[in-house]
Amino acid sequence: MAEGIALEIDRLEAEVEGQQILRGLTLRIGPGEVHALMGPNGSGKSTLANTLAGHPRYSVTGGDVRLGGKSVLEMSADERARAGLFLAFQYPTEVPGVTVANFIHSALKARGRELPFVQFRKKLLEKIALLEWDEGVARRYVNEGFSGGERKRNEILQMAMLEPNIAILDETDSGLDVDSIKIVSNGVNSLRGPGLGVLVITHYERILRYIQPDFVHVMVSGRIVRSGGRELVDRIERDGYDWVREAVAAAPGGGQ
Amino acid sequence: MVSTTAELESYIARLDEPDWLLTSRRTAAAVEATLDAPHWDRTDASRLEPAGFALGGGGTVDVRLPEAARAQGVSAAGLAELSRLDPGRVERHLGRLVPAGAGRHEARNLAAHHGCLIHVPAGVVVAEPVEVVYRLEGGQFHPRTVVVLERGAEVTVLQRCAGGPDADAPPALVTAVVEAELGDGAHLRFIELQQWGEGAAVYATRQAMLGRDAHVQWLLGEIGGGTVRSSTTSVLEGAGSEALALLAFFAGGRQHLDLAATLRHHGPHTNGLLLAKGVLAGTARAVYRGTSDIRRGAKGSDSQQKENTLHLGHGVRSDVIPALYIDENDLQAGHAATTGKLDPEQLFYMQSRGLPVREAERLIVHGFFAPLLERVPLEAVRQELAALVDAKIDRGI
Repeated sequence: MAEGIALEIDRLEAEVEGQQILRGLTLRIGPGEVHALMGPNGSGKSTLANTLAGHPRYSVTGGDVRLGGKSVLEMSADERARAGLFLAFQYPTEVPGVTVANFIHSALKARGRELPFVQFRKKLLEKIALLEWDEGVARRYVNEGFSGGERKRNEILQMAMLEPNIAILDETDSGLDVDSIKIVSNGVNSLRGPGLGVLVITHYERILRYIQPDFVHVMVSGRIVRSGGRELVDRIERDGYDWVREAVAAAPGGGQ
Repeated sequence: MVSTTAELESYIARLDEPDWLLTSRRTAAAVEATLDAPHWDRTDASRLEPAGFALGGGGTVDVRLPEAARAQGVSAAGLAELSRLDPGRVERHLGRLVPAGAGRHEARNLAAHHGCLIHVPAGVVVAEPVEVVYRLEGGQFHPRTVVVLERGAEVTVLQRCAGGPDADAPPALVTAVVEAELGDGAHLRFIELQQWGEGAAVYATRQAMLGRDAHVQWLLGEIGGGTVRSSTTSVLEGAGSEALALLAFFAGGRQHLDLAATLRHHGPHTNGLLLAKGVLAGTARAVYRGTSDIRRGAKGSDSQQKENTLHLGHGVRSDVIPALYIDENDLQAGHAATTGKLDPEQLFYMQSRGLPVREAERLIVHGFFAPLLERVPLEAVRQELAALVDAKIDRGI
């Protein structure tokens, strides 16, 4: 991806099964920027990830999401992906009988970026090596029999091959040991550059020791309530989330 | 049914063939006239009645015998040609495993057959597949493939069944018979890629008879046909004989597939495995009947069945009817079946990589068949079957 594009989330409201989860969330991820979005359980982090990616179970009830200036709300999930958006799933599903190599190859083809076999294979093996993985994984069926760590590595492998403009990592660190977090983070860091904007969604500060964010946001009850830098991560590491909840509840019109 | 019998007799009278063959045809026609029309549960047998389908010129037979196999003494030719060249062999084997008395359609097929006979002499191992192509044109078509493997012979037969009307064109009728005799220690791999037009009503009977330590492997790709009634039976006669039946079916639109696979164990220490995988889309309907029939004396035998169906839409229906008939104590037998729906989370996952729904479904269907096809060591056949699946998806399922 030569040119980066921005993801603009503008006063987004969304619900799932009739329950409102996102309540006017605004966030802009510019080209090349890495943003961390932190928040306690139930704050709406995964809803945001799924809503952005176009999961049919989540419906937008207000606001807008723009990718490169164009609204994506009328686009299907696959159209959004082809427009440059990538979601690394918290719980990636299995695709029985489809090898990792074939899956990625088919996805590139759908994006009109099919590579000649030799070139594809070379690049795939490079990215597998980058993730400190055995090249045999290319022939394994997608996520079938994968450990939790392998599934997350597979997400980053796909991200590395598909070269999106905007990547959303939905709790990629959850359930991983420190070694796996390091491997996955190194993979993400190697992809950083002016063409890629990243949103790292996480409950824990651990992954942010390895992926250094340019901006940090804290989400509570479907909105961003604090934005800043590294110091927010340190505060959450020290004090947890209670202080944010209390500050929001004390603010006029907050805590809804 | 006087009218169809009269039509059949006048068809036979027009053939220029040796007297013994004409007599065999007339005998089969007479047997047909004595049999009642079949009646099946779940499948409307009237759709497969010959009345109303023109007889004569229904299709073509093309047999391709590799040059190396010919040099090894293998013969493969159309029945009409072989009836002159080697009448004794045709007379010995034609209708031996699937005689007229087997049923109305089998009788009609024997009376009006086009077909071929493949003979592999004892101990001859054929490297390249022998190919048979049946092409349906219209009306009635009655192909019959007779395969004879002498002791220790090995061959792969690749049979392609294609052509015929689309779903909206005037319909055609096919009865297709396969008779395979395997001598002691013989190995047969029989592959059929069935892609008749969806305007064809199809009745198929395949039967293999196995000698001691003989092996048969069926790979059946049932893709085409409008109404299909298909039955494949492995008779494990000889001790230590083994059958593997791999059945891949894929139905869409208004297709109705009624597929049966049977393992009949007679000999001791015989092994059988039926693996069926089917995908249904549109308003397709499938009936799958897997049967293990273990006769007294089949001591130490093992008969297993596994069946998986994947539903791509809500308008489809499938019935799985497993049966175990056991007349022996010392044996192992088992059955497992699953039916799955397209998982919306899986679809979303694939879409989120940029795959449109149709391409995601394409991968899911190929992936579903993959574990079955991995058992077929012929890359070209796997690719051909994959191409048939792709073509069907491209037409819209």
